[in-house]
Amino acid sequence: MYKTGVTLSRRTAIVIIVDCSTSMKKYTMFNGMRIVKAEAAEFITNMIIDELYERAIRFDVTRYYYDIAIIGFSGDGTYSKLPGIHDFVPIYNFTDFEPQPKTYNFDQTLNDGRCIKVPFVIRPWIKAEAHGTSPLFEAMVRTKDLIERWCADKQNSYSLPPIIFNITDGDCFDDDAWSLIDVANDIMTTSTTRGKSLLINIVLRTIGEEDDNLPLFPTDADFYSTKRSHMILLRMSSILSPDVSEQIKKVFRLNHDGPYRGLAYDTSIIRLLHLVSIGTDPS
Amino acid sequence: MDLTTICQFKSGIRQPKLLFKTLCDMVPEFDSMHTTKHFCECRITLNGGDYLIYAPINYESMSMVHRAIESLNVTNCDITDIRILEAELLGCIASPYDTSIVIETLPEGTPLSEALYTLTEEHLLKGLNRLRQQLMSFDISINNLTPENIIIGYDFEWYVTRSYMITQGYGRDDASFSRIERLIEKCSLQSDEFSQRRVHMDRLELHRTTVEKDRTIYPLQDGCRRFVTRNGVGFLDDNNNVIIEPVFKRASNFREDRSVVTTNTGHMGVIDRRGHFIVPPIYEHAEFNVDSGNIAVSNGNMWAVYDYLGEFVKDWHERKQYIPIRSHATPLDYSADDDV
Repeated sequence: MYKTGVTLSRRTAIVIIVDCSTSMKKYTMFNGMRIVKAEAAEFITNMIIDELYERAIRFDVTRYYYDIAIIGFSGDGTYSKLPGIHDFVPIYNFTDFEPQPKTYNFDQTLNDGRCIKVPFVIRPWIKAEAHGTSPLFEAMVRTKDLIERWCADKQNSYSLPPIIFNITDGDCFDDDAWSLIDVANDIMTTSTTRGKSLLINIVLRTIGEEDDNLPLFPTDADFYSTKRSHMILLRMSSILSPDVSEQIKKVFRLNHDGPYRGLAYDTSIIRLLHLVSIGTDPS
Repeated sequence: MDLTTICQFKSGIRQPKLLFKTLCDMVPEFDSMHTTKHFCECRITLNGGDYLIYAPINYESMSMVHRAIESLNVTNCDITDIRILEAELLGCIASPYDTSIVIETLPEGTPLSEALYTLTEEHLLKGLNRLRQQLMSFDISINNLTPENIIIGYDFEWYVTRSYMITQGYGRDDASFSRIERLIEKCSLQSDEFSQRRVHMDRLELHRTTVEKDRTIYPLQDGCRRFVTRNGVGFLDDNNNVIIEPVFKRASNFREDRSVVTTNTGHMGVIDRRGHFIVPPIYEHAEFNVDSGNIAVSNGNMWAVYDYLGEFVKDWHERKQYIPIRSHATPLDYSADDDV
């Protein structure tokens, strides 16, 4: 989403909000496989962190490019899923609690039709959890406070604005919808001198409840769902800039024109990572 | 759009037979993998030849390579051999589409960054001048010219690697040439010294990565060769005698008799070539600035600075602003403020 790249003097913050409620025990189709949503969320989150971690390493030195927070929410409230006393952990500190890599095996149908089992070796930075209710509102408020503090910190004033990924199954809207939309708006308007924060919602759908009409990266004009939670999530997602919408159209081979909302269903979040241009400098 | 993730590329490197279309028989050097702004790269051996392969991790990467190849074709320049293998890395979970991979022939020889210490100034300046003439005659600029990216072949020809930034039009490498000239003047041997020390080309063997049964030995730097075993990282002298046992989880190459090490407990410190700790391994983070000789250490948000001899020069202070210092970077490592 940036026109400039991440550098040591122009860092950014990444917040990943992970739904850890009981409903995440349901199954979803992930990469053509039936797996528990909590495991899909775990895999996605671990992959993002691993990718960021790898990108920050230069010749054995981990450069301070990112502050990362992972906020879980479940019946017990909200909590940091990373060790330490603070929510934000500088990327170079991840070296201290680097877990032993874990192999995830996925069935993979290649474009030539072959079906193979592909092992992916990723460090399991967080573990899957699914218990209790879904205090999404509290998680959003915590995120808002967190990024407001981060953006207000003088040393971050020239940094790129935070990016927030909310990984959820969407079954978490017991609260007043307007309160949720309000706090999401507060997040989306929190800014550094380089722009506003980006809130991107990733929805893991339950098997059997997929709505085929939901477009990937919808626009306000073409999105309509009878599901209340989908409509709320749409309004809780950032509107992506024309530049980024153009990139999204190319990468995801979309037929409809932007500007798109930062809302995606069952998609590979790694693609999103590319889109937000983390670690790139197209100029 | 050609774009992949480091995760996907690593998976491919681990199982080339499954995920690479034509490079399936390659033998990768895992330890050579590293990331720059545009690519994740790995050195491989294939059918007896050495290559560097690059996976694009930035959506500008491939257009840059296309531009470089076009420039080389237009000018008939043979200073490098770089190609694009279309849809080479098969799509999988980490990145759903097939991705093109860039492959570059790695000439046999030694990088200039290491030859600087073994060849004479006269020889090196002559070679550098010849390279400059070549670029001028082909009317191209490398845009990425560093001592690490120049290979001096065993035939004494000079080749360029990581040539994906080449553009048409000569002249954009002037600053790099000047920098390399200064390095040559500073580091290289004088002719009499050269003959006195009987430095022969076979010494260049010391400047290659050697993979043995139970250890990988890295090129000589600052009089030491880093080696990696299952137990950890240690150091050899230039006769391959162990001078520091492989007891560290990580260790940087020696520069100015200092190496930043990470112990098995995950703490960082700095050692000298005798293996003595100059800065004790009790810190979450340590960085050595080869220019000032200072060593910055941190625990949490608190920073302190040691001098080259291990004396405190700046006591603990809270970090107000992160001031990057040049660490034990290699010449390939771009400026400290380089983009990710």
